[in-house]
Amino acid sequence: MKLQREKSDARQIAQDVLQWLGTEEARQATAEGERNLAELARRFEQARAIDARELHEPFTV
Amino acid sequence: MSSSAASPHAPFKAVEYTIDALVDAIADAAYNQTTDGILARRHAKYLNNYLQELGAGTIVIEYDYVDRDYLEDYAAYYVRCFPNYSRRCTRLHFFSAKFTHAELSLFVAADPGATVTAEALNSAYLGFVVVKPLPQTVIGRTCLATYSPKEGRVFPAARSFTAQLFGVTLTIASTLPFQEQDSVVAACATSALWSVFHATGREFQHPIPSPYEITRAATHLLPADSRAIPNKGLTAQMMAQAIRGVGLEPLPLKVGEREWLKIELYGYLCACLPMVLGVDLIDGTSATNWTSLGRHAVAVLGFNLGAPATPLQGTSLVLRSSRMDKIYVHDDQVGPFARMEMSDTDLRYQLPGSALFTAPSMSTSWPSSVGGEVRAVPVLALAAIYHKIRITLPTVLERVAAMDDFCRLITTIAPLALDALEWDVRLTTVTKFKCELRERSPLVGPRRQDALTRSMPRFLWRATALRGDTPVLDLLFDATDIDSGDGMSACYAYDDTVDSVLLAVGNAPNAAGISMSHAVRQALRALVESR
Repeated sequence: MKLQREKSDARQIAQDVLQWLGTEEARQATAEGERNLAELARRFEQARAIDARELHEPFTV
Repeated sequence: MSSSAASPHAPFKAVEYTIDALVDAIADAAYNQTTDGILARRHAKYLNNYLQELGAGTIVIEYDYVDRDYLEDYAAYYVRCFPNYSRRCTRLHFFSAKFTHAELSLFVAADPGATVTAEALNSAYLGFVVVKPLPQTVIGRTCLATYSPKEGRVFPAARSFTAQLFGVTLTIASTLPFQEQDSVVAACATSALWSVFHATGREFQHPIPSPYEITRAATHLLPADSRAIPNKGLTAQMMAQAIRGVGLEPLPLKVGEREWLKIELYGYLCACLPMVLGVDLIDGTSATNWTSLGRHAVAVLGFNLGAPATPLQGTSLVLRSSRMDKIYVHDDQVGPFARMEMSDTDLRYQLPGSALFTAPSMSTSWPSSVGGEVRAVPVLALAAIYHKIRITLPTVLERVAAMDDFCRLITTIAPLALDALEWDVRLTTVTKFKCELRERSPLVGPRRQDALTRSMPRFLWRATALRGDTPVLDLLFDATDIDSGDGMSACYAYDDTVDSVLLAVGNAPNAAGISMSHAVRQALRALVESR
């Protein structure tokens, strides 16, 4: 649930965020984020792996 | 028709710009070429359309012009041909202002009645085309101004060039040299590399080789099955060798996925580094079979951000590069700054005797021989980078994705408006970063002082989180580090509330029970250290 704070309450918002980051909900969300990042890294690697054949075919047109 | 073996002309001539005047001037400068022959080639039509768009009013024809690049090619090849090809070229200068030959002559003679001035010539200057005294492939070094500025259309790899004419320094504010392949010392890949080297030469201070020198450097360690000169094309491996020849490192990139093409082009082009893009050209229509025209290489210099931003596939990370809908290339078979439009959907096509392919594609300005269209399917991109740029985009994006995730997470419980950020991820240098910061950043006080005085690596990956067009957060990664290193150089939050919250979290990252990823911890630590 989003806390209703004025933007000027920066210090209070920071305390709320800090407190929330210590909750089980935050831990689970962070763990899921880490898993997604690992999957993202794997996908990045796959998407950018160059087929060696591509390097040997000439550009002739 | 003329032979350029000797120059029978006066030193120069000024004529009103028309397509006929342009074609006549090119045909006159070429070797045994007719106006019909010039018109039959697509360059003249393309150049005419381009120059009309720029508003050309006058052509000044500079005869007997010595062009360094052509002279190198001439000394290496053409001088030993039996026909008497000239070693001198003709240079055509284009001006938006209209003036006559008589008026220009009065200026050159410093006649008191002259109405043309050096300032007027410079402000009206649109650039030049060197015409080579060869039979067919006549468009030599060409520096024409980029299209006028328009929302979303940028040419980050273009830069200012000057030309000297009658003692006047003429400046083209934004351009990059183009020339067509001569199919002898240079094929498409050589021409694309030649354009790229004009940008990297300025950026990294290396000599700019001529087309002949590029082809030689590309092939002397990797001889092709057929002879290197006359050259029929280079492989990516050969292009990589030519890049090493100027002291830079080749970075081949797979760009078969639309979003990766945009990410890579955006990231490197924004650092003023044009890239060679290798494509498969296919000709046809959806109702017919497609025909392969072969592989072609172009130099990418600019892009247009006209599409709506979309998240990276399988993530919620939104990158500014996803807005890219067109790129601008030096296509040696078409002309300078040719537009290629990216399709939103993959093209399904079948080549004779092949399986059905599905791939992203782009429009081209090539004419179709079957009444359809010639489309370009990206194969790979090749960047020429300084050896100290070691960290690549995926490493940076993983960290940006982690920070974006964290921003979303804390916005679920606090009114920080960090849940719809758009990230602008680009390579930059410490000099450019500090200049931009000094000129445009809202950062004030100790954090500004820290940012401007902090010792930073020469090359940085900069990830700016934007809310609309307003920067909220800047992450700076050391591009010279190793993949497993810390990598984070600095982190600045421009919104005071966001800064206070991230600072508080950053000051207590190791407090019991606080969960956040390693990448976020690094970013927050950098933010804490920046005051």
